[in-house]
Amino acid sequence: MSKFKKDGRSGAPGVNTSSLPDIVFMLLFFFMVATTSKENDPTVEVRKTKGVKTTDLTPYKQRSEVDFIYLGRPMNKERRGADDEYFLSLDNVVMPSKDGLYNANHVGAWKKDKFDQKPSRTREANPKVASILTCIKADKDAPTGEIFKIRDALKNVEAYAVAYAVSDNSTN
Amino acid sequence: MAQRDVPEVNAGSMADIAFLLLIFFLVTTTMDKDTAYIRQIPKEIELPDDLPEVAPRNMFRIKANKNNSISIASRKVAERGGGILKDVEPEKISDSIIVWYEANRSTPIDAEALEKGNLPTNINAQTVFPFYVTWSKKYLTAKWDQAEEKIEEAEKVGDLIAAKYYKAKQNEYEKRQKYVDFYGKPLLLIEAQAHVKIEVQAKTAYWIFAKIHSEIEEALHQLRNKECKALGYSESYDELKRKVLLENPPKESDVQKIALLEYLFPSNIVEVKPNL
Repeated sequence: MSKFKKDGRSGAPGVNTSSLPDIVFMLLFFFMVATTSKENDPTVEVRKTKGVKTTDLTPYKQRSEVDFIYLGRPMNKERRGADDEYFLSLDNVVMPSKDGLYNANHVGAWKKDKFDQKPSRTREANPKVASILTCIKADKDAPTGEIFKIRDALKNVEAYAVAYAVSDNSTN
Repeated sequence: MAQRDVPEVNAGSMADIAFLLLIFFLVTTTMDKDTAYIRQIPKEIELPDDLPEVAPRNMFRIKANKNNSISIASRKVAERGGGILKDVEPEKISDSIIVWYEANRSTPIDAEALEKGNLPTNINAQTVFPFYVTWSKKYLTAKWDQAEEKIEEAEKVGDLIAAKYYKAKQNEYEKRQKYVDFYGKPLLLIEAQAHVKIEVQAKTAYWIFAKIHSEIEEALHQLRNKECKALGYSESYDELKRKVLLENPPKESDVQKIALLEYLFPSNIVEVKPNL
């Protein structure tokens, strides 16, 4: 009777999913661009300390103009002696130690190797190791003397730029 | 001849592949920013022997001991008296640094007068705060010529260290001339030797060391922000910094403004190596 008579069987209409790959690709590209991958997991425990008015290292990371040193007590509880020693964690060491723990004596050779491994584009823009930052991520209770040992080691290989990592809690 | 149909590739699994990649990057992404204080390790350079010693007024000394208590060894800056302030609350350090930086800023001395030892009568030579010096373009040119003579003199006797030292001085005067142009009036600078000295012990905890750096940075940012207002800039130093970081390439005038502000309030920090 009615002009708008319904068809007998009415199923849910199918959603067109042909643009789903586009959406997913868009998300994918965002994460690809935003990602800076960590090269190694640190072998030492680092509890961050806070500060204000810090410098953001992201631009340096994107140009791979920064190397990271971790300073803290070993993650592996069995390696923690009674004397509460602090160790370094370095990435891509040419002759890695068995437990991944290092001290300031290893820093010089490591910094040089890291520089040689950099992409040629980075090395052309920074012909000297002096302009590549070394960021020290130290545990909040680490003794500052260790920092100065690292500084001495870096000075010997003419890597003069250091950065002390702190998490930023500036108000604005 | 009849054209053959090109068979279509089934793109149904494209989404699956893209999802797989997406999930990989989702998992490996760390979104927390790395933030830090960037410092330079001083190079070992040779200097001529006849340089004057650093006057006590040009040092703001911050000491931290192995029990993580901080003392400001520059005279009692906050109250302008004498002695050492022990067990300073870390949050107060930035205020003291600002007082130290600004104390003599309203009573500058002409660079020429200072060199000749003619201090104005309203300036106490025994002050515990660094002097402020005005540099006119004319005097900078004169100093440049003077350095040129020194270089020639040194080269005659083959004193390469002195020649290099005066060459660096000359570059500095050139740089200042450019800043005078940008500043629009004689440059008002803190004494070149003025610096903040951090003296820690080997056992001092890293968080104290970082806190001291944080306080210095806080003080410098406040001073530079204040100067932005005095110079009539529409943006503060913090805003300029953020803008330059985000823009690519940044605006030339913003970069120059930042350079000037950082030159007027330099972050001269000396980190003294503790006995290891």
